[in-house]
Amino acid sequence: MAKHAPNTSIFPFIIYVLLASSLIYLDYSFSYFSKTKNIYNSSILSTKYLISNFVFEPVISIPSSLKSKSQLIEQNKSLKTQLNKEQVAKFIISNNEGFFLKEDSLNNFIENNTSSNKVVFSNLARFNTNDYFCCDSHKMFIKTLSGQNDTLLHSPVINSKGLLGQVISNKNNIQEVMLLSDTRHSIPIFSNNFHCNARGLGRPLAIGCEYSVLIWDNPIEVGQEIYSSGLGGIYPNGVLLGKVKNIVDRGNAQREIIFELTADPLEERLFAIMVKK
Amino acid sequence: MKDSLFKILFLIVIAFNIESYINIFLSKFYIVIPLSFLTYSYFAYKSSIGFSSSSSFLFGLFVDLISGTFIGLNALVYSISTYIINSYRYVFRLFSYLQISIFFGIISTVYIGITHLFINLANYSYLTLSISFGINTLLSLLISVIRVYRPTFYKSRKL
Repeated sequence: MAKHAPNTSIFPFIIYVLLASSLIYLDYSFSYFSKTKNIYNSSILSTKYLISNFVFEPVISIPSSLKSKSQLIEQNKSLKTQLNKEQVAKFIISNNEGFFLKEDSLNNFIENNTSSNKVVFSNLARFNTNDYFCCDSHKMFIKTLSGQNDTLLHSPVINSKGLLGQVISNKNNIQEVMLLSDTRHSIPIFSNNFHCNARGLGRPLAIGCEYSVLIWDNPIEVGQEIYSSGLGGIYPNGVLLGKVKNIVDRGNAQREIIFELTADPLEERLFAIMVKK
Repeated sequence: MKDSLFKILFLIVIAFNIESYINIFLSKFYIVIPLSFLTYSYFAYKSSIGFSSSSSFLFGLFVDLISGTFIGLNALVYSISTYIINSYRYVFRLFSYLQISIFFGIISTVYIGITHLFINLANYSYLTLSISFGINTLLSLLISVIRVYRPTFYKSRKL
């Protein structure tokens, strides 16, 4: 009699395949497990942060403290952070009309709780670059420098080059940021008289939108600059996002415009979250 | 020798981290190497009695959690691939190294195809699948050939 291989009964496998399929459906359609994932991610990042701050850094700093250079290193670090902050502040000042209401003074916006609008600085906590280069989901995790803040949800995130995305979850002082290039993200943009909702294309620095040639007759050209229109209520108005990279004919009188974003999330480690009260 | 659960989980985590680094560069050449999945498949293939449906499902859920993809995606693919590996357990003995490598190339391509349907639909590419099939088959062949033809520095005196 022929010998059967062990664990080949199809029935339990079918049960688990059906169970896995229903889990995917729940997660894909309703983001049912987003809370679990957020808790997992924030706890992993918090642990990593604690270990690096209280275990690795003291060990690494032993030789430098022996050589009495620790003060210089600290000073260097704070100067670097200050320089990064100044760069972001410069960007905000040059785009002031888009970011802040006119009644708000520019001098007191950085991490000032008395101001009606403020900027909260954050450091990069984790960036899955594999997903960023290969897949549709473009997200990163950042951690505020000033401690816990509960008003950051849905706030735009910038670096010194421009808009990067928005905060989609805020747990244990770690914010998950959905980047503009994520396929689930959409941002209202304009260029001259042309308006559209540009969605992420799942490729680094690429967003795009479609239009009908029956409505718009050559509204935009390659190389033309695009700006945020602020119509969605999340992003400020009139901030330069990037340039038109390509215009592709999709048939049925439809054309797709592909934009290249100016702000690269990989360039810097310091970010600013724009909070509007 | 029986592999412990901890060892398998540890190697899957290591493989996942290596995969995250190398695939950033390889994706520019339309290549995806699912190292964590190949590691799991290797243990499923190597196991004398084969992994059970529950363990394959739980391994998949674990990978779902660490990779941050949709919960259930890896659990689904791991369950299906374990069933296929278990079913062909005795048939593999008749296969050559090349045939087994092609089999692993095929299941890793199926894995890439199914996962990219969910996580990379906007840029789904058959070119990536074709090239990845070739590279994964070659990688599997290379690993199996190295195992056999590696240089020996110590000769066992056992009969």
